This record gives sequence, C-alpha cells and structure tokens, in this order.
Amino acid sequence: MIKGGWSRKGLRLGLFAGGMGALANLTGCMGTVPQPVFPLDRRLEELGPSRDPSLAGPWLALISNRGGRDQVVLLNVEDQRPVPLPGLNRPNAQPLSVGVEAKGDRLALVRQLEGRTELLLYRRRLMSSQLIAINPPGVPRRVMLRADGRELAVEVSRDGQWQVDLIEIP
Amino acid sequence: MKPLVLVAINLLVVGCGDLGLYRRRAGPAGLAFGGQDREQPALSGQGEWLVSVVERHGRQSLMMQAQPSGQEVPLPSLRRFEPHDSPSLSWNGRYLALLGKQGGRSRVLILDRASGRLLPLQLPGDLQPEQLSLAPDGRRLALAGITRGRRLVQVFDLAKMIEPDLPRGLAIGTMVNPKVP
Repeated sequence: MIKGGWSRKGLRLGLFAGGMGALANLTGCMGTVPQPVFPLDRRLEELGPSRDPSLAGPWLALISNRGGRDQVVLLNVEDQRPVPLPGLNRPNAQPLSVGVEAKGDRLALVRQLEGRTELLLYRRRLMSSQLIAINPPGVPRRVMLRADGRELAVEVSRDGQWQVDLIEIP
Repeated sequence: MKPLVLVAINLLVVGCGDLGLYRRRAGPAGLAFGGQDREQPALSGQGEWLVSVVERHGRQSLMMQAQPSGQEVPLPSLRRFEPHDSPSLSWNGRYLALLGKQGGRSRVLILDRASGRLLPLQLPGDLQPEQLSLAPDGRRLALAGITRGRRLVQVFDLAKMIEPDLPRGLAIGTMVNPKVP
C-alpha cells in the first residue's frame, strides 16, 4: 500500500483502464470497422470489375464487366450463387443502373440500347421485360426499386435539369 | 421446351410499354428547390420516405422527405459531412446510409434516426467508396469503389452493429425469405 495514495495494483488498473478508454475514444473517432461477408467477397472478386450494387433481402444485383462487356448479375448473398436472368442481358445493350426488390423477382434497369436510353422492369418468374415510358419525356440515368417492389424512383434528365420521378408498379 | 416458350413470350412482351402506371414527379420541399437539380433518389422499403441529393449552400446535401406529403425532415447531424452522396434507406427509414466527406476523406456513415446516433464506418483495406446500398433490414451494406486501381463491389456485415429494421408485421428474427428460387 502506498501511504495516502493508490496501491500499485490499483494504479496499474487505473492506467490500464485509462489506456483502454483512450483507445476506445480513438476508435470512436475513426469509426466502427465492419467485417466483409466471407466467402461472398471472393465470389465478387471473381466476377471482375463491378459497380452499381443494389441489396434487398438476400439479393445483390450489380453491373459487372465480363470480357469487356457490362452485364447485370443477380447473386444470392446467402449461398453466393448467381442466378440466371434469361432475356435481360442483351449483347448490344449497355446497362447503366440496376435495382432489385427483396423477393428477388423484380429488377429495374436503365440501359442504353441502339442509341436510346430506356427504363425497364424485369420479372424473373415470367422472364419478361416491360419497358416503362418516361412521361413527360426525359432521359433516365439511375433507378432505385423500392424493397417491396411496388415503386420506382428514377433520376431523369429533363429540360436541362436532373429530376426525380416516382412510378408506382401494380 | 418450356423455357423456349417463355423466352418467346418474353420477346413478345418487351416493347409493349407500360399500362396505366401511376407516376408523379417527386415534388421539392418548398419553392427554394424549384429550379434545382435533384439526384440519386432512394425510397424506404414501403415508400414512406424519400431521400435525394440537392445542392444547398453550394454543396451536395441530402434532402429527406415524408411521402407523399413531401414534408422535409432536417438532418442537422450530417451537415458537417457534406458533400453527401449515394444515400440509401432501410425498410422504415430508420437507418440512412450515405457517403460523406470529412477533412477531404470519404466517409461511410449510417444515421440511426430513431436514436439520432451517427455511426461512421472505418473500412478495412483501401477501398475508396463511390456508391453504396444498405440492405432494407440494415444487416448488410454493399459498397462499390476502387481498390488497388480496380473497380469492385464489397459487402459488409452490420448485423452486430445495428438492430434490424424490419417491415411492419415481421417479428425480430424473421427473415424476409426469397420467394423466387
């Protein structure tokens, strides 16, 4: 016992607690470190250059470049497997933006095809694509599909301005 | 044979155009934004909230609005992280994920609107984030960006950091199961 003060053990404990507190403060300033989802990350690396992710439920939609060509890929995050999207990726089309709903049936896509930029809704179950007209006319750039699949939020260039159109889907 | 028939139907369906879709322009919150660009829209899972990027005081800034009223909700805690980019909302709009800047560095931020807590994420590795997508339940975050000169997407687990934000009527612990195989 140190007379009139702390014991050595108490002092060490105090210093340790102070150090940990300072470390916690430092970590708090820098931010919390999230962990990558393994082995999904390996799968994503294998896909090649990728962009424009959309997460909903267990689904991850993104645009990936394979062999110099951009295409839409839909992965199940739980088992890291891509699922087929028959009829969606056309060889002469350039996908710009993609969104997926939580059930994984509906995907929304903005793509360039034969000089046009178009918005379409794809239904996996039906393997069908439905073009959605931009009205009043404008050029879509980004699309976001609501997680319940019932509405699209679309970034549209119109009259020299970027605007947001909301389109409900039955 | 069946897939071929379906693909044929698919080809017929493409180009039919939309049939009676209800559409509207997302109205700006007040006249101050009437003539301004509005970009990167994101809706909450059931559409009660819309967040988008507008220019305010000379910087890209998030505007969050209740739908369909357009009533704006201020986000003062995000102001010091302007310019903002790539917003994403959880099911009920509880969590707002975004890219911000602090001291010239890109930051990945998650705002818990229920508690007001702002969670900055420190990314492992050297990913320079450019886009993000928050899973509606808040369990995962996808980031697109550049690492070692390569453009890629990474997915991060947030399940231990934040509570889930589930659609109304689902108990905690319930998964939103995929209905389509």
